[in-house]
Amino acid sequence: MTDAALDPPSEALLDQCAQGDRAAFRLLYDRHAPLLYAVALRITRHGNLAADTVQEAFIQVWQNARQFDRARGNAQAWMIGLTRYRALDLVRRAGPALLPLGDEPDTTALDQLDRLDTSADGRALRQCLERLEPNRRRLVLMAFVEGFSHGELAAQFVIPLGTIKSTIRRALASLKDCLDG
Amino acid sequence: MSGSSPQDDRAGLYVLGALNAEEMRIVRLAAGRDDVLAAEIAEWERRLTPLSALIDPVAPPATLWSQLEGRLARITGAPDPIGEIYHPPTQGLRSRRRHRSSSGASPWWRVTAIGAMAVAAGLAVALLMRPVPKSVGQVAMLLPARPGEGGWVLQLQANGDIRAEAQGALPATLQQSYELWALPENGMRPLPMGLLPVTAAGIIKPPGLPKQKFQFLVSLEQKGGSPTGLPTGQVLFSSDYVQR
Repeated sequence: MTDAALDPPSEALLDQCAQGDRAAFRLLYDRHAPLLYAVALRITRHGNLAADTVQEAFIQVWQNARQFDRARGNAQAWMIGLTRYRALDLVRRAGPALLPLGDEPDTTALDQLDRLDTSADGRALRQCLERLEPNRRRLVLMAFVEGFSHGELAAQFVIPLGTIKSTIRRALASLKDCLDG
Repeated sequence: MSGSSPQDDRAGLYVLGALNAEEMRIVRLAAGRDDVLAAEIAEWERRLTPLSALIDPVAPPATLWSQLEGRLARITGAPDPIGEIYHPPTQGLRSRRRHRSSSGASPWWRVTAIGAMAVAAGLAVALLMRPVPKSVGQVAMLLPARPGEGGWVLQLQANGDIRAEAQGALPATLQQSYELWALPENGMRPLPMGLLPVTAAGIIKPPGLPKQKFQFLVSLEQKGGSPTGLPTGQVLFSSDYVQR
């Protein structure tokens, strides 16, 4: 999840964006737009909505570049956050009408946890996820990657809403204990 | 559940994306006033964001950068180096029909282009022509209708070079190359421009460009390009006319 090996690092490009450097902004876009678009696409499941989401996220990157805090993570993680929250806001506001019934997401990649091994944080997360009971792990992954809310997960798995909420809460607590322990 | 606090629960659920719209709004407002909650959210982002590695990148629509740059120009008050976008959704196809009827005979590569487009309906090409300052040069886009499919953004540089930027998913092949052609309006044969990149961007140095209006064509050729100086493979893309 880090692009520190890239030259110039994205964190430096953000610094340049904060100074109004549009060429640096273009580099950031070229480097990160495909992942951000994919992140938005997984949540919105609609190309135009995903493109709108990414456009708004990059405008936010440009306007708030000087607010980026390296102590809180790398540039890519910051931009992923901007994109995810925008996409989640969009689908939550639109409600179920946005996602046609029977539109099953392709969750194959959710089983490929070894893909997390590209960073130290990712490796630690994989090890902790693998300690979770498989159904709990799946709920966590579908919420983060596919943007499923408690209610959508309850409908998807035909499980009472209260059970979903308590299961996810326990899963997050387990993850935290494992990662911070 | 050790180590879990109400702030922590809210922060984790917020970052996970499991909350509904109202719950998200409440957490966001609270985080603006509660440094502990804001710090918990940052911690959960650090813990969970590596999950994005499970998502395969997807090339965004090629128009996205142009739109973004236009927005940026309006925000900063700086001149937009590319300008506003003009979207004629099916103009490329209409123009080809006009050209055929006006020129009488239909050269085979033009017929091939139309046939290829008809067969590959999923690759319906939308041409985007944008008025641009002379210092930047003309910009043409050879794009599929559906996001994620392959195409190119072409930019004519002031020195006659063409900057070609691959967009979307272009099937890379070891045995074949995508070759760019310029087809003059006057019905002359297409001129070879050069080979197109399948990923990223590249500079094409064409031997020359037609002085009159022309169309860009892209054909799939044997590795290294057409051996005859004319398109020999399937013409996959064609643009509307470009005026230098």
